[in-house]
Amino acid sequence: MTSRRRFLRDAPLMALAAIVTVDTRSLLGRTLVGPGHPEPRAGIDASKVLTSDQLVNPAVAPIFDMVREIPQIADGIRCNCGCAELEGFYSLLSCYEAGGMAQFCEICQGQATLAYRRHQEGQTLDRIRNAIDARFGSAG
Amino acid sequence: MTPVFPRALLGVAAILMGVAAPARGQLLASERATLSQTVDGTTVSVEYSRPLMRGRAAAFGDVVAWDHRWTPGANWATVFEFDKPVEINGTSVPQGRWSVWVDLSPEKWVVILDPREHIFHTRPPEDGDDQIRLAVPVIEGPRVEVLTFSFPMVRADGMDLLLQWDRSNVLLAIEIESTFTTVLEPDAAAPFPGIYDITLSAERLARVPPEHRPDSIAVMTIEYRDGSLMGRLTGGWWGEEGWDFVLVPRSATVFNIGFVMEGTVAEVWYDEFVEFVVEEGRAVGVESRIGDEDELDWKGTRRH
Repeated sequence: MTSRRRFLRDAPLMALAAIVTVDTRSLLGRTLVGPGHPEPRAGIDASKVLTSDQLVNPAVAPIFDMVREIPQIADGIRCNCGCAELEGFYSLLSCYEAGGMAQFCEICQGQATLAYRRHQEGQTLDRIRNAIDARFGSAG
Repeated sequence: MTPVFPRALLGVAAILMGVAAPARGQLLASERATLSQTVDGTTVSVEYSRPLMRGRAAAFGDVVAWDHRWTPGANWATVFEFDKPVEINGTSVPQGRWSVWVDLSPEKWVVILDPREHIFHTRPPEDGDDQIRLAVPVIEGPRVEVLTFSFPMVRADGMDLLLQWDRSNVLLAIEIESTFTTVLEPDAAAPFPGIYDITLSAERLARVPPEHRPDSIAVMTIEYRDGSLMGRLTGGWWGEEGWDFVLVPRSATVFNIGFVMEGTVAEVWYDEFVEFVVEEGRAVGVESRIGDEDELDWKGTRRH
């Protein structure tokens, strides 16, 4: 349960997220489920991304290495696997930190791989977000 | 008084003989068949027995009498199963299993879906409020020996189910609840209409034998029409005749391609993503990406 102080602090942001979601729904003429992408946090880096020796599933180490190269991109992308609803998860980057949920999740892995590839091609964050939404976003 | 003991022995013997007898198939008149078709996550299934003409003059008016309620099959009533709600010839049909009957007359046929199944063909159900009735045209065609159901056409939004026996053909146009939409608000569609010059990517060209490589640039034309972004690709790899498509929105600037045939979406290619590059509210370029490897297939720039 969140504290009253935190709720009052976050309420305007939550309301803004709801408005953005509604605008996106009407824009496309169909329903998109869930809020949009987060803004990358100032000064965010890859210092908390799990290293290969911290992984239970070392086979996915290359993907963690990819995220390590693009923390500012990963931090501007919402993960669509559901972990974004968890306490403490801010962005796709979060999936590669702490418990390293991404090592067991194909959606986390797919999104990171796509983001890395597109970043290598020089694409903007907005374009990467659209590519991810098209492949991993939910629609109802 | 008849002794019980000998009868009991006979019964036991019969059971033992049944257990000991080797299992084997039994050739039935009108063998059983099943078929199913899935479109966009909705599955339609048919279970029926298949009678043969076997030299008889006519199926209808001879094998099957007119003015008779008949199941299109034999033995146990034919069953349609829909795992999601559908529309058949414009009539809503809830999901579920339905026994299938036809009220036959020389002038018209009425297909009846009854929510009860496992009914023998000699005991058609009486009229009921829970039945669904569909008046269907009957088309004459080449003679078909064995009563046959098939799905001769599959579309992005449904399928056709065809019943054939003797020279009679009945087509049921089944429409499903699509998971995709092509509808786009004007503001959302505004960046994309225009003409784009399209070339195959280097990766794609490398897989095309030199003698088959296109010697011209293709042209993609996008228009906003009736609430959807309609496209046409001509020339280059796609040939001068070209083909028509509709853009199925997946995100603000990324679409799947819906192949349009005879005015309807025949198929949506979910594995190909058409991505527009938008600058200052206007698409200046476009790319096609394919498969899990996100491979660049073709790309283009706006002409004007």
